Amino acid sequence: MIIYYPRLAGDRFASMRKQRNIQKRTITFFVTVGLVSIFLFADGYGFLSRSVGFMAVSLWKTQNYAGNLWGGFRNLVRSKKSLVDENTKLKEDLRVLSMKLLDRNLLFEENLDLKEAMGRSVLDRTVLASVLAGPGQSLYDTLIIDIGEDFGVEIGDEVLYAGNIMIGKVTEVLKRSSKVVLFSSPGELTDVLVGDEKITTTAKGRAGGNYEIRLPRDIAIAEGDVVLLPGIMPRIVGYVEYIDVKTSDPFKLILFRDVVDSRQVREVEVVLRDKEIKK
Amino acid sequence: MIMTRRIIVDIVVILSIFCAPLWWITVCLLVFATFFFKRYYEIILAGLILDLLYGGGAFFWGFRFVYTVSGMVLYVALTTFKKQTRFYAGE
Repeated sequence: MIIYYPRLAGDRFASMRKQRNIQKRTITFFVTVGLVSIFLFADGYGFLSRSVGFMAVSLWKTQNYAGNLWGGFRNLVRSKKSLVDENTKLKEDLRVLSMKLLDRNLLFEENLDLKEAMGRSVLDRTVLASVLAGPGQSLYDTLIIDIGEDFGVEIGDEVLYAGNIMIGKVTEVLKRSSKVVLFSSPGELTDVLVGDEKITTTAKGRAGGNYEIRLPRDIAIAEGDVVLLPGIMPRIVGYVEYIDVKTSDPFKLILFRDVVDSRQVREVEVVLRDKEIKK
Repeated sequence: MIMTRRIIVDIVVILSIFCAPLWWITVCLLVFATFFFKRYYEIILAGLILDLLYGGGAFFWGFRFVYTVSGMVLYVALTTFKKQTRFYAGE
């Protein structure tokens, strides 16, 4: 005697499973197409970026606040003698640096006066910004700063450190924060002047504050030469650290580094050219 | 219990994306979590958040989803690897 029932039931379950799989695949397909469409056509990247940025800024500001509180507490519990010693040492360092800067400031002011006399005003309108997240937190070599549209920051604005060291450019602006891509970001190309003869060339970022330049072998460049950004007011980018010359190669590879370690930068200035500061 | 653990690890991963001083700390956490939990799709989501937060510039010829794609590749690689090992083979 042959029993057909189990076989029929098995067929029915197999058919139901097949139908469910088709339904699952259809839903997955439409969800994927929907997500890709949002990203490509409806500025989904911008929307998501703004949403994540909004959450992150609040978190980073809280983290900075907590860090400051902890720093204050740590100073409170440190011994009085070590604080007095450190204070004395810092005052001495400051005195030496101030003496060294006197000469530099005189020359700088003279330089500005001369440029103004020639009809060029070179004083930029800058606004101070605090760094919320640094380049160590991702492979992208970007900084997130705590000012955005609220201070009139726009895409392409230049970012300075310590008044005269150019470190990057603003690439994304949110309501209360901005993203700065460092010149040393991998693959980033920047026009620079290098050496005593101020040769114009293009530097390529290699991440971690490093850059490379390729120049013909005969051009005289020495280790320690300064690398500047071109302009009426040349800004420092870095110093030549290593030069690789191969007899078989008509070009030499020049490696240079940022003056400042971008992972330790806590405050920067954003140059707002020809704009009014809103706040 | 496993779900509670997963949620705790997810929170730690999110905090690490925002606050860890070095990016590889987050990557190590994600690799660990992918090994520990079954179908840890959060690795791709974490990559997307990293891209949205920090992405920009000419890195990888201006491609904006380096971490997301790396997350996908890592997920597939680790899942395949897990299937080959005796310890995870039963999952």
